[in-house]
Amino acid sequence: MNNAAQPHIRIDDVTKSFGAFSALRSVTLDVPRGSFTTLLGPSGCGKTTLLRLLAGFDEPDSGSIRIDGAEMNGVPAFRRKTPLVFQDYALFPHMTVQENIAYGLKLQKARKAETAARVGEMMDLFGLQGLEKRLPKQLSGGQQQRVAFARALVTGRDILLMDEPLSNLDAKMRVEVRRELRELQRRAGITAVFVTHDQDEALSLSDYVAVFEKGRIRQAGTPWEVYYEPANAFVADFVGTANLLAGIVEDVRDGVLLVRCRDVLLRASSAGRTFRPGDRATLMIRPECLRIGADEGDAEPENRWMGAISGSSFLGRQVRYEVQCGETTLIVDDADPSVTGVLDGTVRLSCAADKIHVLSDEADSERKEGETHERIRPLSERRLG
Amino acid sequence: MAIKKLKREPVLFLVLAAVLATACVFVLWPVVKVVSYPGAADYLQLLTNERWMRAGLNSLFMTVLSTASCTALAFLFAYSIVRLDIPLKGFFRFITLLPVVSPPFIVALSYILLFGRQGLVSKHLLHLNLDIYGWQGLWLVQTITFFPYAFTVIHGVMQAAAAHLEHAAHNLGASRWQAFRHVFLPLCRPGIAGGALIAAMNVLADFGNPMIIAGNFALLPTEAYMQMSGWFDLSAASVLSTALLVPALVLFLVNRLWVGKRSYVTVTGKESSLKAYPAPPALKWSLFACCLFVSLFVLAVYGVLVYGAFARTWGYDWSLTLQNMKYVTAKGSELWNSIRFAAVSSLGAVALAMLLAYLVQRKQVGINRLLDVLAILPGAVPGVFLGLGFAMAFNGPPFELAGTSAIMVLALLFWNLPTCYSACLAGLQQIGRSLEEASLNLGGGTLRTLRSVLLPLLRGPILSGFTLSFLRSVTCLSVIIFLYSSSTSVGTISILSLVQSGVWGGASALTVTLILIAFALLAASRLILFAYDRRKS
Repeated sequence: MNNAAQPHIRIDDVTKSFGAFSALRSVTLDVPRGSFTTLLGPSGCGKTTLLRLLAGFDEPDSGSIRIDGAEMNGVPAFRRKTPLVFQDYALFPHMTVQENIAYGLKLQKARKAETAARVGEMMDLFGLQGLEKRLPKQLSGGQQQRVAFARALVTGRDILLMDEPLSNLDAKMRVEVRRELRELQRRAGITAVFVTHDQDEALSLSDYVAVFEKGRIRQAGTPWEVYYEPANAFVADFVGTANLLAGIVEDVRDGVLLVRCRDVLLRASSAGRTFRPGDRATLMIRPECLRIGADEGDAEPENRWMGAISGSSFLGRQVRYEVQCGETTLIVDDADPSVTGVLDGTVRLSCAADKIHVLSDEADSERKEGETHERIRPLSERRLG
Repeated sequence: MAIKKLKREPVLFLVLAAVLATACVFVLWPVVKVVSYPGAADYLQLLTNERWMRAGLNSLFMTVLSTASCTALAFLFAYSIVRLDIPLKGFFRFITLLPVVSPPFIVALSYILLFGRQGLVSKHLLHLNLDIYGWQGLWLVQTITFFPYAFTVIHGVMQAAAAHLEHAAHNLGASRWQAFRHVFLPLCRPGIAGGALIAAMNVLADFGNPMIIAGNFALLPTEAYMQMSGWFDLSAASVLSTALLVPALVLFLVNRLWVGKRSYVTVTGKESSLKAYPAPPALKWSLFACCLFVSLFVLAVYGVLVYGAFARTWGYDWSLTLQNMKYVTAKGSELWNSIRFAAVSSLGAVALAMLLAYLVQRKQVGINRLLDVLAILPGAVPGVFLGLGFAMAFNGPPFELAGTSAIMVLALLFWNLPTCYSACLAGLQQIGRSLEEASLNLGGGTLRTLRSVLLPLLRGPILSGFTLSFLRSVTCLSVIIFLYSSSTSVGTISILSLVQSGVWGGASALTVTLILIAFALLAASRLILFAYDRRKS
């Protein structure tokens, strides 16, 4: 059962519609054992639907879901052993904190002494001591959230599903809880599936991120991959800010592409993919990968632009510029503004060839229309940064 | 502080004094009059007089029995409509509305037409000779008549009980039955309690149904009426009515103070759209069958009345005729009285309720709680008691009103005051204070603000309060049975006397006419609201 090579959760070609609305279209995803996997996407993209299918609240129209290799289709929600932390926590308003946490054990007919011990453990773990007899409405938002986690974890299952559990917390607390949550998941060795629309949250928490759009997975991979090597414009744009430049390949030499994007010629790494001169290619550059400097002085030799600053905003740790380069506007983040001060006027931009990423969906012309086959390879097989 | 404020606003003070005086005279005084009329020895008779004792026990018995069945049936309907994916939901909702807008004895009358000695089912179809008068028949009739009241409350609470809590229970390993028992049922408990109390208040105060089919099975309201009409024994009637008032007040207070506060209703935005976890098909379709059966029975109740109105001689000659319409024309003045009294009393009730709600909600006058209690108190008083109270309180100087139209109108007005008051209060609560402040800020005076801002916005609650009040008045029997004279008799009284003399055709014809009047008004008020909404948009 606990074969490490086998994915803990295997989602195979799952489709789900509600009336005329296609919530999920042929979604395939493997969730490795012990991983923290995040389903990321804008609202209405199908991520919560997939989570509800995993929990068994709805059944897929087609395709299959396997947990530990066992087919889950048709297994009712109460036999699935997939505890879920709901977005608004769904604490039972008529039960005390203690009764809420103990509920899962009560259903398993656990012995009284054992129940008490396990509940006590959870109360300690989540710092809920002294709140045993309170009703949910007498708790703060943060306390309610911790009760929700305790209630889901008390039964000791090896899967934890979470539906935007941090969205009701204030910004500062959210960052704090992220770290604790990650720590907890690692220590307990749980396979976590986490739904969010917040890309910061997804990048900082996850081993793997699956980015959803309109019921499809557009890319699945490590946070590093979806951020620096997005497969398509949607992922590039949704996960962070991206400069996207459409162009035509002019020449290929030793794994380096020469791409003409309007009035500039850019060098970019082909990242092992095959291009021929005349192919279309879309380049993606993150704002922080562009270097900005005053007119003169030498920068990266490979890729250079001259441009005029058309807007700037000082954000404290960085300055964000909008630079007009011919017909293109580029967004540039200067991560160390204290060196140069806020720039103005004409500037020179530059970027190393290996920081320019060629979007793969556009590159791979043999790719079948609508295919979203995403198998996550174990971390060990990947190059990380 | 409140006093100072009153000195600054003399008009408000005068209005307040007038409202308070009116409420005391027409709400408190009749109650005090009835309760204080008998001596201690008379009250002791409750324990010694075997007949009275039995009436009390019977009332208790029926209240428990009918409340239990009303609540169960209401729960079944509410659960099926809220939680099951079944067809005909709109039809079931309609069925739960019908009895609310009908005369209180309509089910009893149909019951006789269906199952009585000359009944369509009992005699014509099954050839049986049944004695249906007694507690069993009353039980059935009260269940059908009053379950819609419990339904309204239970349905409201059930809709608010978010399905995602059951999802959470399933997620933790609870089977359907466990989730129902551990989560759904406890969440609905306040609604069930509230619904049961509403049903109990109505069953306890029920006068029309027992009058018609309880037979020799005496209950407190019917016994009080007997003592009054048969023996002119004011003391006995007062004792029995007071015995009825006490439990009614208790039920009323428990409902206001206890159930109101024990609600788990949580307003959450996103999750409430979740569908309930599907129920097993066998359960689903058997509940559907139950709802359908009850609904068809309710339809039969109304259908048989229409047939009764046009059948030549019920039980002997089933051919159709218009001859029963002669009863309608003969009782024209009574029907006209029904409409007249209902319209005038409803207008008065709405005006007074509006004034009270405005004072309670918008003005800090220091006695807001007292005004609130006075406005809702008549809702706790059984109709029979209120009628008796008016008969005794305004039977001599300084208020010599016995036998006049005025006493009929006043009694109906105050009987309907809580209904209108609740509607107006809820409407006012929904209108933000800032709207009035904006008007004042732009230079509109208090009266101007009331007229040009509040009243137009309250058109909906006012109209629905008036409509409900009118329906209740036209179909009222219990309050006015102590108050009418030969010149102020109304439609419901005529129907009762026709039933008591076994003139089923005439009774049916009159009842159908009365229902038609009620529905015509209901339709008219809907049309007015609809037209008004359309003009706005």
